[in-house]
Amino acid sequence: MADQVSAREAIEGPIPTLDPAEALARAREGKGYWKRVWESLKDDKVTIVVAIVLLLIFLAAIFAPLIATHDPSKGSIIGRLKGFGYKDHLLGTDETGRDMFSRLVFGARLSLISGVLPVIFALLIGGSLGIAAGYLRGRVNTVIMRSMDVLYAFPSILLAIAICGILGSGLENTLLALTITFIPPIVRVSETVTVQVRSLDFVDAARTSGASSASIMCRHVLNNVLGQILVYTTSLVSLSIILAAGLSFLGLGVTPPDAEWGLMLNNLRQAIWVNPTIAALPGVAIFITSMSFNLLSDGLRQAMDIRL
Amino acid sequence: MTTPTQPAPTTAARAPLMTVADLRKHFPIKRNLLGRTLSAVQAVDDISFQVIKGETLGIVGESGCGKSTTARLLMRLIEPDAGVVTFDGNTVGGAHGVGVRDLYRDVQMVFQDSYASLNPRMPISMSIAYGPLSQGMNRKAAMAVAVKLLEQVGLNPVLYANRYPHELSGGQKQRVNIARALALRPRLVILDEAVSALDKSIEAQILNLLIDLKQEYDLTYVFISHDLNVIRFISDRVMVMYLGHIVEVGRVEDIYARPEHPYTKALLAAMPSMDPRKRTETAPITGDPPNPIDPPPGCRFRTRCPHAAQICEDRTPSLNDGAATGEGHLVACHMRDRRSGHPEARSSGASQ
Amino acid sequence: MNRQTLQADAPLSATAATPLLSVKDLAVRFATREGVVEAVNGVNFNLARGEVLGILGESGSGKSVSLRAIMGILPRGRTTVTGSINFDGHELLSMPEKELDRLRGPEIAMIFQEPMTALDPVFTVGEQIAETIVRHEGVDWSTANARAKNFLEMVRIPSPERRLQAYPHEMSGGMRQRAMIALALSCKPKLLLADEPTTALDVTVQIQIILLLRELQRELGMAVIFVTHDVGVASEISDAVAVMYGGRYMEHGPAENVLLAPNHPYTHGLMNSTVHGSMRGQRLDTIPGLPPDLANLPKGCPFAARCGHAIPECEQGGIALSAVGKNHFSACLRVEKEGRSFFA
Repeated sequence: MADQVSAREAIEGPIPTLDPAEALARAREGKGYWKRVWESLKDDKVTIVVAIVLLLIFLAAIFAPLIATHDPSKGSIIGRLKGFGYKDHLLGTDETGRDMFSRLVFGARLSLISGVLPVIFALLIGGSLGIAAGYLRGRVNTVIMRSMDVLYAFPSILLAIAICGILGSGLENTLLALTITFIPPIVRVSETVTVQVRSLDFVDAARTSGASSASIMCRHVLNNVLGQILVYTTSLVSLSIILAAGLSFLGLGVTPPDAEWGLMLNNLRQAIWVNPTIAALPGVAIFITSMSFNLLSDGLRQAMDIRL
Repeated sequence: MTTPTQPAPTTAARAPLMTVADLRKHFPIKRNLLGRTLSAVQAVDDISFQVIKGETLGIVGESGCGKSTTARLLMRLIEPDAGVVTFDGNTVGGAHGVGVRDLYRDVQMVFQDSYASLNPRMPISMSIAYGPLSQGMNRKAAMAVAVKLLEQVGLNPVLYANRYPHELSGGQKQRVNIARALALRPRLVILDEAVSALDKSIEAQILNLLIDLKQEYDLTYVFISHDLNVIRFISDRVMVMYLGHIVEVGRVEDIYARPEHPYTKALLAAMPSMDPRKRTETAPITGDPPNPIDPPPGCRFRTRCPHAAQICEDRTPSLNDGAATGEGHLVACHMRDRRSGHPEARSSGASQ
Repeated sequence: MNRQTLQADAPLSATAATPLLSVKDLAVRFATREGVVEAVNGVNFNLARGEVLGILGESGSGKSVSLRAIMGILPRGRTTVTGSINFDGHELLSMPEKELDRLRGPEIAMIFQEPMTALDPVFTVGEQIAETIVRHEGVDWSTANARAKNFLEMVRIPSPERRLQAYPHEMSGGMRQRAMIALALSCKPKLLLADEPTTALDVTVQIQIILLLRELQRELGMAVIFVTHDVGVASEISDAVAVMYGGRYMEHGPAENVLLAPNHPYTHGLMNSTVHGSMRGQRLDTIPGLPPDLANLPKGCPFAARCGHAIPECEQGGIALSAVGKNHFSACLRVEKEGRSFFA
C-alpha cells in the first residue's frame, strides 16, 4: 500500500473528491481476483507447457485440411499397417492403408469436440441449476437435487452407453449423452459451493439491499463460486474425451469412415499383433490430450488457491 | 477533548419507530417421521419491545441469548415463526404488510467484521453502490452515492474506491460496512456486534464515527453487543437478554446503577476491574450459559440463580408483571412481582 | 538498526533471585512473499518464579509471536529467531527439538484462545490428560487416570469422573477451556504461557477462568505470561504489565503503575481509547491512524507516526528502555528527558 498517505495526513488533511465516473473506471481496473489468478497462472511453468501443447492440438484440429498430408479416407490395399516413413506417410498407415498422421489430425477435431462441447453445455446447464438450487434452497433445491440423484445413480459410462443405445450412434447423440452424463456432478459441486457462499455475511448484506434473487446470484454469488466450479469442470474434459473414445470404441459413437481417435483405436485392435506402435498411436493421442487438460485443471486450482 | 454529544432523548412523548410483539423463532433440530418437531433451539421466545425514534437501544447478552437472531428477524433475513413487527405504524411482512424491498429503504444493518462481510470479489465502491443500484438508481448516480459515503466514513475515495476487502484493515472494512448500510438512507440502523472484532483503539474511532453519523443523518440505532462497556457508552436504553427472553429493559443509567434482575447484576459484576488494586475476588455466577436447545420450563435463569424458588419453575416471569422502578424500567423476575408468591417478592424500589 | 538496546540496569521484575526466564534481544522474522515481516524486534525482560506478567497489545503487536517463540512452536523454515531465551538455566534457542520436547509439559506449558487447537477431537479429555502424565512422569495408566481426575477437580469441572470420558466437542466452551488448563497443568509446569485464553469466552465465564488461573497460579507457584488485548483482563491477573507495539515493549512495569499512571504516550492513548462506561456522553479520545505494517517498519520508534507528541529524534532509531520508577521502564525519548507531563 505504498500510495497510502501517512495516518496523520489522512485524518487531518482535506479529502479530495472523486468524480463518480472516474470512480467507476477505477473500480474496474483494481487488482481483482481474476487478474491475480491470471498472473499466478503465467508464473506456473507446467501450466504454460501444457497450455502450449493444447494450443497446438487445437490448431492442428482447426487447420487439419491444411496440415494433413493425405486424404484421411483414402486407403490402399498394399500399403496397410506400414511403419513410420513408408513412402511419405509420416506416421505410417492404418489397417486399410489410410495415412495415420492425417487421420490423427482430422480425428483431433471430433475428439476435441466430443471432449469440450459436452462439458461446456453441462457447465452452462448444470452450473445454473446448481447455483439456483444452492441459493434458493427449499423446494427448488429438493426438486433439482433429487432429480440429479436419479441420474447420479448410474455410473457415467453406463449412462452414456444407455443413452446412445436408445438414441443410436452418431456425433450428435454422443454429445447429448455425454452432456447429460456430466450435468449431475456439476450440479452437485455447484450446489455445495453455493450453499457455502450463501452462508457468508455479504450475501445477507446483498439481500438487505432489496435486490432480486437473480441479481444477487449473478452479481455476488457467481463470482465467488465460479472458480471452484471451473476447476472441477476442467477436470471433466479429459474424462469426456476418454468416454467419447470409449463410446466410439464400442461402436456407439462416431461411425466409419470418420476419423476419431476412439474409433481408430477400435479398428486397430487386431493390428497390435502386426504393428503395435501404429496401433498405440491413437491411444497416445488420447493420453496426451487428457493429461494436458488434467494438468491445466490442476494449475488452475493452484492459482485459485491464492489467499485473500 | 471532551465535547459532549447530543443529550439523550427522553422517552416521554416520543413515538416508537419500531414495535415488536411476541416475536418467536425456533430452529428445529430433530423431527419425527411426520415432520413434527421433537427438539428445537428456542432462539427467540415471544419477546416484545419498542425502539423509540432517535434513540440508541442497546441489546446485550451472552452467547445463546438470541440477540443476533433478533437482529436477523428484524431485518427479515429470517422469517419469524410468530409475532408482529411494525415500522412507523405499518406492519411488516404478511399478506398486507410492508414488503421487504420497501422495508430495506428504511431499515438497514451493519454486520460484524467477519471473515466475509464484504464480497471479496467486488471492489468496495461497488459493494456500497449495490444497494442504490438494486433500488433502481442508475450506475453513475449510485457511484456518486458510494463516493460521497466513502468520504463520510473517513476513507479517501481517491485511494480506496477500487480496493478489494482483503486490502483493508478491520477498521477500514467496518467503515465500508457502515457506508454500505447508509447507502439507502435508512432511518433505523441495526448494528450487530459492529465493533466487537476490532482492536480497542480502532473501536474507539468507529464509535466516534457512529455517533457523528447518527447526529448527521438523524438515525435511530439498535446496537447489539456482548461488551457491557460499549453498550453503556453508546446506548440510551438497554435491553438484557438471556436464553431467548428479555430479562430487563430500561434507561442505561437505571440498568447500570440499579440493576434489578439477578442475571443483570451478575453480568455487571463479572466485568473485569480496570484497577489492579481492586481486583474481583469471587465470581458472581458459576457455570456456563446453558444450551438453548430445549431450555428448562419456567424462568430460564433459575438453574443459575441464587434466589430460585418453586414459583420460578412453575411460571415464566414476564416483563410486565412487576412494577417498574425507574421510567420504563421493566424486569422479568418473580422477586419483583408482589403477587407472584416468591418468598423474596417485594415491589421494586424497596431497599435491599 | 531497529533493535532496542538494553540499558545496564535491565528490567528485573523482582528481588535479586535468579529469574526463571530471561529474554534478551529476542527478534523474530518471517520470510513472506511480500518481504520480511519483523514480528518481534528486540524484546528484553526477566520473569521471576511465581510472577505473572501480562503482555498487553493490539493485533499485529507481536505479542502472540513472542510467546510462541518462547515455546518454540513457530513454523520452521520461514522463521528466523535471534536473541537469547534462558529458561531455568537452559538456553532454549539453541536446544535441539528432542530436548525442547522434554521441557514442554513438565516445565513449560501453553494454553490457547481456541481450546480446540490444543484438544484432539478423537480422544476423550481423560485420555489426553493421562497420556501427558504417562509420557512425562513415567507412571502407569491407572495412576495417570486418577491424577487426571484430580486435575479436572482442580479446574472446577463439574462431575469430573463423567467428564473424563467426554470428548471435547461434547463440552461447552467454558468447560473446554478448563479441560485445556487441566491438560496444561497436568505436569505442574514452572511456567505457563497463556495466549488470549479468555478472549473467545462470555464475560461471566471469563471472570471464572481468570479467578481459576489466579488461584492455581498461587497454589502451584507457577510463573505465568498472559497475553491479552483487554485492559481489564490484564488488570485482573497481572503482577507486571508489558505494553507491546510494533514488536517491541513500549512500557514495562508493575501493573498498577503502568495501567493507572502510564509513562508512555501509547499506553496513555490505549487507556484513553478503551471504552468504559464513565466515558458516556464524551467524544472518545482515539489514537489516529493504523497499526504499523510489520513488513515495512519505520526506523526509530514504531509509534512515532501516530504519536501526537513525536519529535524528529523519535524517528531516528535506537530507542532504549529507560527507567522511570522502581522496576518500571519506558521506551520513549521524551519521557526519558521530561517525564510524563507532556501527555498526561
